[in-house]
Amino acid sequence: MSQTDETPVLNRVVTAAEVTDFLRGRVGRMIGLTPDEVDPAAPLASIGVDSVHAMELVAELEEWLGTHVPDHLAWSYPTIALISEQLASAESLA
Amino acid sequence: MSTATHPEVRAGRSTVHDTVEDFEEFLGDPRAPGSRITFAEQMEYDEREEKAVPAFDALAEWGYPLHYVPAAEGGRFHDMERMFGLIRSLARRDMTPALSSGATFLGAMPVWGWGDAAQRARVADLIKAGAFGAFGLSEADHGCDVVAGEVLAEGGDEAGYLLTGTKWPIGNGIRSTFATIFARTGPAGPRGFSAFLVDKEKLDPLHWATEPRVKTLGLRGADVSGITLEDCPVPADAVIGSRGRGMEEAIKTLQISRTLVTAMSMGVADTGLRTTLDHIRSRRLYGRTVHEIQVIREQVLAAYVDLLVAECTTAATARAISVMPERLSLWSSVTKYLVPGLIDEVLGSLGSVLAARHFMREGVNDGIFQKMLRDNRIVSIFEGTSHVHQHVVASQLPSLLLRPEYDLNTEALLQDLFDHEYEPPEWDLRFDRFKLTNGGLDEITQSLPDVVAAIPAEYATLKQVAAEVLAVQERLQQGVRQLVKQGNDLHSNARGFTLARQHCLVHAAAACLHTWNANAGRGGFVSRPEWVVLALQRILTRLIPDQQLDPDSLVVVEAEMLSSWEDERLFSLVPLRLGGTGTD
Ligand SMILES: Cc1cc2nc3c(=O)[nH]c(=O)nc-3n(C[C@H](O)[C@H](O)[C@H](O)COP(=O)(O)OP(=O)(O)OC[C@H]3O[C@@H](n4cnc5c(N)ncnc54)[C@H](O)[C@@H]3O)c2cc1C
Repeated sequence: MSQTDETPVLNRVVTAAEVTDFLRGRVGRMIGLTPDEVDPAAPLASIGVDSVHAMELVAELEEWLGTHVPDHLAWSYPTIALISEQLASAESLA
Repeated sequence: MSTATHPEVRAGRSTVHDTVEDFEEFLGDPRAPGSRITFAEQMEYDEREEKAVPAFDALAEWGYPLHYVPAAEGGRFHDMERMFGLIRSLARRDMTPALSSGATFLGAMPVWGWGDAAQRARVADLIKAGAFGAFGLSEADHGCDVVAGEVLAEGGDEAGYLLTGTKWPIGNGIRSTFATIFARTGPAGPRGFSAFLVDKEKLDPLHWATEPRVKTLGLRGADVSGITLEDCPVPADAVIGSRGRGMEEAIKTLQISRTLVTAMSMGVADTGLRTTLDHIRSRRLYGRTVHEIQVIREQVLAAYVDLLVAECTTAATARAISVMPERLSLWSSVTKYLVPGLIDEVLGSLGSVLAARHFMREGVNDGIFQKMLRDNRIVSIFEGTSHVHQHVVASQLPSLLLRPEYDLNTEALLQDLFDHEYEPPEWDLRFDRFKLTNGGLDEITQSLPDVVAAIPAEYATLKQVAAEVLAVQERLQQGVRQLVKQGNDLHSNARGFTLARQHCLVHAAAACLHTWNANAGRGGFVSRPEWVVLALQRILTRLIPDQQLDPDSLVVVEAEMLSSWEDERLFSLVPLRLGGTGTD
């Protein structure tokens, strides 16, 4: 089991894999699993991330990225894999 | 008349208790005609379903509403613990003005937390002038599912917004001059809401109206109603904080308000117990007082102990607002789940002791008991129902499994949270440190194994009951692990809710032990082990049937209960003199 790197990634483009690692670490901690036990393809709501935890997740992502993420993110893209893809492409567009 | 203050009675307190005693002294004994707020008068207003104007006049005269305004805005707010004490004192007379007045504070809180200078100044002016406020989150069709809220705010450029929809049921819907209204400013979701400061005096009367008062079981003098807006223009600068952050603001505000409403239950419980003792210590049956009937004696004592359990739980949460607001998401939900329900149980039990008298809207203490019973029923429902709080607790249980090490920081934090002499610092009411979840940190219950292990061997009975609580905690953690392994999320699972309830009870037990630890060596009742033994046994009663209260502890704890009653002190671990005791 590896410890997720949570140092803020200010001012550089993140890859989808990095976002996935970060989210698996955070979500794992929320729901009592190790990061590698968290399925990135599973809908967040079905693995125990309720709306308040999703809001917290968005806030943590922003702190880590050092920038705002789209307001509707976790709702429109409700799996770790989808959020990672969308964030990575949004970042590289920027 | 003068009563010299016993030196022991002044120890183990802070200036919070001085403020509360001052308020108590001003209001007087609610049983005595001529006091500023009396049971008799409050009962009359309740019967007529009207606002008790004399009570609000008394509050204004003492400066109670000024405690809703931060010092920077010319008010007297200092810290939430003090607010908690004031609410409890008011509610022990009557919960109705405590609620009606409290809704003003609730409505103002997002403005203090995130509002700009102009909004803060305006709300401060209104409150200082005696205006009421409201907090408009609920909608008729969505209840607990607030994220589904439909009240809409369209627009958002310099021209401002148009608000449309109905907030119902809400406190002070009609009486309020200002309201915080949560409305949709984007697609459904956590960032889809914004909070608006609505100044009724500035609204176009053609575009808004109030909903009629609802007839209720309790709080009959309160204004429980609603506000309807229809394409109602509000300026762009009515948004409180950032656009899109309304839900976050609401959730963080509720972490405080749901803690404060438990002060109402605490006040109600004090009157419930006091009224019961007033009756059964004088009524005679079979040639002795009712209180001398052995089972009655133990039943009443159990109610007193439950009240102490509730106090230990809720006092630390109110303290955490000053000391560690980062933990409030979990601790405020634990408190809000546990305390109102516990007090419903206390009142139910005392009602059976009062027997016919508990059913009469007159007689013993002017029939206040049945009002308290009715009023407390709402506390477990508003500010998030008990289910909602079980959900919050259940959703965080898995994250608590990784237990951080018990270190000096934890010890210092627990001391600050539970020490009765702690002086809370002044707070500017900005919410920077508040979080949406605890992130797996809960020093109160995670330290339980260490705290139980450290109980000195001389306290054999306490050590034994504490070990039973610890066994419950271990079992419940196994239960959480099992559910997680099976892929169940705890918050949508009946077993998860049961584990959440157990966690809340374990939290309460830990709070009692921490209170004892933090105030040991100071002398007085709080440093005795007997109350902790009974407190843990009362908690265990709810987890493992067939508990027998320790007979040796009963004697000591009953003596304290009776002296609190005779000397007119609050039923509390902190010595606090009640109004009407004729100080000087
Ligand atoms: C006197 C009074 C004053 C009030 N003051 C205000 C106020 O000032 N401002 C304001 O905004 N609102 C106020 N309210 C509204 C109050 O907060 C709501 O009534 C409350 O949130 C519950 O909503 P509901 O009754 O519609 O229950 P519903 O949402 O209809 O719930 C139905 C049932 O489902 C349960 N349930 C809901 N969610 C879950 C879950 N996640 N898991 C399990 N079970 C669940 C509930 O506990 C309940 O048993 C007030 C209400 C009253 C009676």
